[in-house]
Amino acid sequence: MDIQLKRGMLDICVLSALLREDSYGYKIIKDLQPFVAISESTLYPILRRLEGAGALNVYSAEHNGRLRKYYAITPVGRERIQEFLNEWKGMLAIYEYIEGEMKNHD
Amino acid sequence: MTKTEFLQELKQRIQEYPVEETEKSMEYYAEMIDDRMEDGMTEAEAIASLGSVEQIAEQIKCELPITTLVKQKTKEKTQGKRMPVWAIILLIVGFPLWGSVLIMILAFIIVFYALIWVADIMLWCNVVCMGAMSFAGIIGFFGCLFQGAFGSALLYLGMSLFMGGVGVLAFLGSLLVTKGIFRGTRWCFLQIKKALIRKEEA
Repeated sequence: MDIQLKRGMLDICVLSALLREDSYGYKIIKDLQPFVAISESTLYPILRRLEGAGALNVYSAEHNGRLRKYYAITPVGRERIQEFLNEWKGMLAIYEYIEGEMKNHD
Repeated sequence: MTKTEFLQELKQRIQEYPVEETEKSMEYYAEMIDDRMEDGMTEAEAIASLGSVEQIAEQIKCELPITTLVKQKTKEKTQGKRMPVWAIILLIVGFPLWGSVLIMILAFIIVFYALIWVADIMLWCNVVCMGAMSFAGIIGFFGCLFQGAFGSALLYLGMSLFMGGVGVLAFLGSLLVTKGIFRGTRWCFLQIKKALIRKEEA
């Protein structure tokens, strides 16, 4: 898959993993596992980038006697997901058209 | 490899970058190892599943903004370029030698530049001279006309017109040359400035 496309998609995947509840690095990876294999070293820059863009907030909370970083989605992050969905709606229409043409003229 | 060893090695590989970045990365990977162990992995398994330290360090560096990288590069360069003491002493002791050479070169440049302007001034002097000659020719023309020497009057008139024409041409030429010198001077300064900026950026 196109690298730029995949990169943008991973950002959205990570943001979506935060919709249900605030999450932490390892849990995000595990939650996304069935859909996309994402490694720790891939996730790290994505989190930093999203934090820098204001799409998520980071806070530390105690867990088992150590601090763990939790990530919370912001309105900006939600907007990003919505944008992604809108964009892909258009993409899907194009996909269906291409698919239909291919079937009709095979 | 234990967690401490892993983090130590990672730190060594990225420690030349801003402390904040280094610390954040370390915290992140420490947390990852802890969470994996909590999930039932052994310490060794957890670390092995993260991949090689080299790759991780490489990835962290790649994600840093280019400005940080450039800053880091210049820092390294200036640090490496610190002059040794003997070089400074040599520089001071040798001042009479390199100082005079430097002054000579500077003087050369200044004199050369001044000469260009002198040539230009001479051109303008020519223009003034021709103007004066043209004016004198007119006076001569009228003088001869009143004295009734028509042949001489005609000659003066011809000379005056000729000098006037040449004068106008010389004026235009001088103007071009002067403008050219101005432009050349500005260009030289621009080049010097550019060279300085490039040096700062390198």
